[in-house]
Amino acid sequence: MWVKRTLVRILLQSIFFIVLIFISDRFIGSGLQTLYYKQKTGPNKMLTYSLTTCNEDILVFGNSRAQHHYDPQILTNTLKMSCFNAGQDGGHSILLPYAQILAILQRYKPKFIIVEFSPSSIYYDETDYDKLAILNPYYDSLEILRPIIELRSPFEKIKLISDIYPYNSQLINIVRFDIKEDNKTITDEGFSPIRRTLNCTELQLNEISKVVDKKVDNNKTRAINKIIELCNRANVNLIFINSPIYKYRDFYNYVDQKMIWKNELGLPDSLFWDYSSDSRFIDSCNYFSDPKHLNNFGARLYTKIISERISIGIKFTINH
Amino acid sequence: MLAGSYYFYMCWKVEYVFLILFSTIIDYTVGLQMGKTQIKKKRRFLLMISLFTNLGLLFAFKYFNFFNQSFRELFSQFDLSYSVPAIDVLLPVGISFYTFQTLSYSIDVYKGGKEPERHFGIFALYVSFFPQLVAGPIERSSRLLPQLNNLPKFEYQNVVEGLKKMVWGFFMKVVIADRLAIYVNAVYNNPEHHTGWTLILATIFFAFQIYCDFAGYSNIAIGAAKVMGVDLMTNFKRPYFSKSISEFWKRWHISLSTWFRDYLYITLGGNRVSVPRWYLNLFIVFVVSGFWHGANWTFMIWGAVNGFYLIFAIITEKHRKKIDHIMFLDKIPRVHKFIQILVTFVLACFAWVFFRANTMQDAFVVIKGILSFRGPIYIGQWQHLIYAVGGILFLLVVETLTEWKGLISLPINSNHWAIQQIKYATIIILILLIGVFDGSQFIYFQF
Repeated sequence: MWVKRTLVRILLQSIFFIVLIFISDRFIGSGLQTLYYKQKTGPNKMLTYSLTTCNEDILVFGNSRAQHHYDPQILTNTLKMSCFNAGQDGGHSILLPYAQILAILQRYKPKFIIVEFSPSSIYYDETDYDKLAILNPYYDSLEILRPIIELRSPFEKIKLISDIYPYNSQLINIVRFDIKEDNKTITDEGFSPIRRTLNCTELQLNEISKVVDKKVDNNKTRAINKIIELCNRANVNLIFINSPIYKYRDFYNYVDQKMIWKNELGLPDSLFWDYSSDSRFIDSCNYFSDPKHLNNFGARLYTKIISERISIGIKFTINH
Repeated sequence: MLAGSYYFYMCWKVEYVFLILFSTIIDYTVGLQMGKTQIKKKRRFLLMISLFTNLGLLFAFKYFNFFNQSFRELFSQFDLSYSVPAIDVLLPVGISFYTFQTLSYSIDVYKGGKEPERHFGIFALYVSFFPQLVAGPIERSSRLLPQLNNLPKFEYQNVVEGLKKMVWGFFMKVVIADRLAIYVNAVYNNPEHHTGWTLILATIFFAFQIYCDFAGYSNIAIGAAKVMGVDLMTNFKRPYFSKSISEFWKRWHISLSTWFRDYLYITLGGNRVSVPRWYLNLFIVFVVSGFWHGANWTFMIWGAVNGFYLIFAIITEKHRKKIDHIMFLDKIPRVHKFIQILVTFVLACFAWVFFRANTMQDAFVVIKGILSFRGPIYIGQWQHLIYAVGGILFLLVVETLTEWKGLISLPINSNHWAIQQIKYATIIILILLIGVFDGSQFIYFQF
């Protein structure tokens, strides 16, 4: 009798605990989801817009170099087409643009897609997968993104059973961008100009060690090939561009980016424009805010160059 | 349980399971043979086999390359050639821990304080028990073997207590330690680019990072063992509430400090020798303890600094009591206690600089920066800073309530099952909300 009563007590207390966790998770998760999609500005708002709503003719994808380097206003003025910069700060790999393009092409077909891409980034880096957490809030709503999100870890599927987990470490940002509008560091077209200039006299560049025994990441090469295939199928013009770097040799250690594109990725030259060693920018402090990012002045000049190149009617051909 | 423990170890690197099996066979055999003879010479010989085998393996995998490189550099100073190649092997996870655990068994049997374990399976489980295999606590055979010989049936209370400890351990690791690591790594990996105040903040953060990382793992290990009905020893007792370095080492990594006390310090003579020899014994123990943590001069210096602290404290004990009296600190015990805790924390933090710095050069850059007390504090992503500081404050509140349980009575301290469930549900929610789930590892796994 005592044993039976004890077992019943254990069972009831265990059920109580599980129900408590479940209800708290659902309630708090639901609140976070509402607040997440209510953000007025900020990077999450831009990401949501790019995945679910955008319908511009020209789209720009990539990491912080995309977000800071491509001025949609200049592309619009030159090419007479609407433009949105879907670049995301945070050192993301090609996997994020792949996810964005996958979601977007489900909804509509833009006329041009520009992907800011550095061929040196195709090697395996564990942190690139950690950064896929940015897509967690869309796991339930955008099923097409699930295989990419699940690349993060074999346990990601299990963790995403929780309604709170997708918003992990986002609480402060969510509340911040819900309460007030950002002071327009990101424009409505997604561009984030940097208004400071590199101080070349104080600059100390770290030596980049040679790329030794680094393995090409198959997930990334697959992503690039899928982007090309999807754009080809949807008849969307596509170009991968590597924008300027302050000191080419210090970041790439003399490794030719075009050679990686050709030899490691086996892709045609026509799909890749490499401006990383462009003489108009290299060693020019005035155009940079830091060694890897153009400032507002440099971004305007660079976008003008790109727009003019597109506008003189160079066709994008996708050869496999 | 033995199969599970071996499978657990093999998940990391299959081949290295033979190392742990080899150590197990040697010490099992040595123990049995020591039990069969009372001849001191023979018992000593058997003990030497155990010591040489276990310490030999530890040396080969962990320290050979360090000494090899050091000799190479020394020889090159005199333009002499040195052609011994490095050994290209991965350090087996947990080798420092299970080696010390199995050595404690051999030494205890040798001293006659322990009967040898006759059941090979039980002994193998003692060596490889998975909750504490890779990062402790380093258990004693007299505590663990009887429990493994007499495992209790399922007990609900053990499961509940064990799970609670595991949840708290995960919280410490994932919410506090890994969050602090983001800032600490950004600063300590480039110390020359950061200001004095930034380096001070990063050092304080590291003090809590390493505590939460290691104590967090210990809690998970102790909790997992408790679920199975096994009681492992407490490894941490809120060390940052220590009022002296001596007390700090009674609260920090207790299983290791007691191991060194019982098997090295006492063997060297402890404090039953002349005063200079006593100080030397203390210094040797701490330097060796530092070296146990890693094959790098930084760890040795960390150990030496702690040894120096202890010796200095002993030498100046009378003088410090006089100063306390002159400043009336003995009349205001609470303030006095607070000052003692603060001073001990600052001393511990200073030593941690050497533990965390990547090289001796970096350590000196950090110290030089700290002593400048200059410059704005690097913020980085301020959200991380808020979570980090919030985590530390939360930890301090919980530990204060635990340390002074009798003095502070709050509803949250209640043992009522509903309050306990709400407490732990809250912790789980916080783990999901602000835990760091990136690919980070426990610091002490590298030892």
